[in-house]
Amino acid sequence: MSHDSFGSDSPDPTDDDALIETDVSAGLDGDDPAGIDDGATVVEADGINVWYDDEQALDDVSLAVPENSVTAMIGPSGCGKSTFLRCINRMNDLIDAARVEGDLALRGKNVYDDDVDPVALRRRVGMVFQQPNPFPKSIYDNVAYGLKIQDVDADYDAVVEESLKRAALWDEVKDRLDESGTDLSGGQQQRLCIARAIAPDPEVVLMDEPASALDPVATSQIEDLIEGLADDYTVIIVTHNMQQAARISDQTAVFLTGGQLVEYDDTEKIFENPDNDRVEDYITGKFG
Amino acid sequence: MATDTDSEASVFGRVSRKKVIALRVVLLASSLVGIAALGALLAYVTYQAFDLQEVAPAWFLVYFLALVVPTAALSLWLRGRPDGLQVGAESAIALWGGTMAAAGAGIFFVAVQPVTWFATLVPVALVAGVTVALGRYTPISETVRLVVAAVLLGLALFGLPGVVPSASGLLGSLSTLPSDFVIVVATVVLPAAAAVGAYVALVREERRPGLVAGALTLVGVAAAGYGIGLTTGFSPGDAVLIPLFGLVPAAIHAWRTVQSEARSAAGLSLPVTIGAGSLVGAAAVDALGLTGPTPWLNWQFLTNLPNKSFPESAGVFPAIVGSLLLMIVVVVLAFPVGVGAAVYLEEYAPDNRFTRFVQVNISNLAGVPSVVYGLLGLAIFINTFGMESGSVAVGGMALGLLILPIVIISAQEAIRSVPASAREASYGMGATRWQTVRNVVLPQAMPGILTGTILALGRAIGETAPLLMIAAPDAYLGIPDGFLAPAAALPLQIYNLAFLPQSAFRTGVVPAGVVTMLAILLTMNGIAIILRNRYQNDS
Repeated sequence: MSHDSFGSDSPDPTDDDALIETDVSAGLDGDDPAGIDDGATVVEADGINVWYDDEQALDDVSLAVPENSVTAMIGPSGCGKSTFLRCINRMNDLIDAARVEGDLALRGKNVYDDDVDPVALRRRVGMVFQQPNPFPKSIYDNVAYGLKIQDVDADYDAVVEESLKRAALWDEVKDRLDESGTDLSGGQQQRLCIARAIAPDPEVVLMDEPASALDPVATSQIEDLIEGLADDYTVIIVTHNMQQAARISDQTAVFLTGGQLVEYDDTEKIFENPDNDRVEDYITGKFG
Repeated sequence: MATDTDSEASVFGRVSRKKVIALRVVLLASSLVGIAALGALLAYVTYQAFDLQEVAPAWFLVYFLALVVPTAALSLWLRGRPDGLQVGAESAIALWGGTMAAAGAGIFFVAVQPVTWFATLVPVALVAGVTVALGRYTPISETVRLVVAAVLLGLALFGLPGVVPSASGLLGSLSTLPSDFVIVVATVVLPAAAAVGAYVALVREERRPGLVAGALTLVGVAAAGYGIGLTTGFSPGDAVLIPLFGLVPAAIHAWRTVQSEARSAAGLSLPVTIGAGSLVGAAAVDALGLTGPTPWLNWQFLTNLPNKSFPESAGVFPAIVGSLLLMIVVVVLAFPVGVGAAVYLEEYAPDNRFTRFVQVNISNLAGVPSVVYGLLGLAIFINTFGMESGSVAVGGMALGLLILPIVIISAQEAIRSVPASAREASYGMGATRWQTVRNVVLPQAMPGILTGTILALGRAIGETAPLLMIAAPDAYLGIPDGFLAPAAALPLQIYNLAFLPQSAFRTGVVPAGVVTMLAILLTMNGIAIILRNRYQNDS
């Protein structure tokens, strides 16, 4: 079963129409955000500022993420990379103290426009969190959760199987789909969370340090998985681990203190010949 | 070097040790003083209720040897087996709780005639069926369906007064209705058997064993109930409840234990030992001709009507029925409202002045004296709305308001304990707030919510002041027949019995009533503790 055969014809709620029917004409024109010229742009941030109460977490961040690639966000703790990730699917809305300014376009449509429902947005942007957080439900129900809440009319069994296969978990759990997802090991739980995130067929998959709570073997499984996902999805991953960013990402964005995006370019360029001295210091371990 | 460290350690130890020990003793004493006082009171009341002062020491010795010694020995032995003692305690609690549940269900069918129950249930089931079918086979939206269901339900239960008779009224007035036995089997045993079958099918992951287990439960319970009905004084309709609640949960527990490899099935012998010990003790006492106690708390006390003149034949049955009906009203009112308020405050309400105002005042309401709630019930429900004074509905509403803040606060705590990561996972999948609440938050918070609600119910069941204020009859002679009839309640009945002239009421009947009430309360608290333990094991 090809990945395109499910989910793509899902009936979306009316609130989502504005977002769905926006023309896909987003490019790199406009106020010249940092960007890379290959492929269509999926996510484009333009002058994003975020405050938590009076504390500024992101300072005028602009970047464009191309389609079907892995984009890594690296930087020291508290530099705002997770905050930026959470701007893309408006998870920051859930925090009362957070305030976001600037434009962030998904396929050319500003997700902070008044007519965008954050619930509809999150149905197109999947997310995987730092700590594996499967629901205390069966493995099957975990993967089918997105389909159920989005009321998708699909062959659930097929979607669950396909998603678990894509998350490289199917062989380990195919005989016990009705066991609780929380009984799996940490690495299996995180792959279950990835399967859950891709089951409703989102356009973008956000990953917030998905391997930081896992052992090296589980980490390398997740990394292989992420590289494979980039064939069909646009993956944006926050990581503390620079080797991980170098191994799996196509583009890398380096955030340094104060919530500033210091450099954003092809991963090779960032790791071999960065323009910015502070980035070089950070990459080589002299700082951060 | 080592000697140095030792002497230093002892110097350090000497500085505070005496104070620490003194403080520990004081703290231990303050922890135990309440428990000790309550224990002494309980022992005294039990002593009086079972009239133990006349009993020969040999009687105690026989029961000690036949019942206490084997049970204690078995318990000691079970401690060495995996989960042995726990399995034993669980099976004993399942049997005891099941018996209490059977009694509760039987009492419910005393107050609400099976025919009335049937006439109410059938229209409700029909409306529910129609609503579900509309949802499955037509594209009608959920809101419309709910409105239609509400209207249909209103028509079915109440009709249009004076114009259209209600469906339940029509059903109830039919000349040929199924017998009580058929009604109870169809409306209680059949769903329970279906649930047993579904559970077995789920555990065995096959349909066949589930079907077999469900059919066996249905036929077995119906046959056993009919048999009990024929051989004892119970009507067959009531008798069915005994095997259903008394044996089926214990049988399921035993089946699961035998299936499980990690738990020792030897624990199941604990309730058997207790039962056999009681029988052996009774036989031995009989053979030796020892005089046993003539307890005030006996079957007759539980099933008789109150009697102001003859303490020997006094009973508390109407008060037990009244208390049960009150609890049903309290649960139906306080649970949905309380959980709804908790969900709003935790999941929806913005953090602003209004929310904080509401929150602070809910905490204040929890401390309002119960007599004030009684006054509220009197002023609003009786004087303003003209409801009948002393009726179950008014009493239940006053008690429901009384425990509402407790239910809200405990439900809030349970909801708050659901990890934020679970909510994030749900929101991150594009779930709406309500979907997150329904699919993620409530299922995880439910054991905690139930625990808090049961404990709050325990508070409500012992309240007397609100019932006095709404003029609940304290020695009502008849059994209440429904929710609009006046009814006594256990604490009120005990209060009244204490002021009767004959001293036997104070030394025998009141203690028996107190022990009855405490038995109900402790059973409820036991269920709450089991729920809480299970909750902690899961998380």
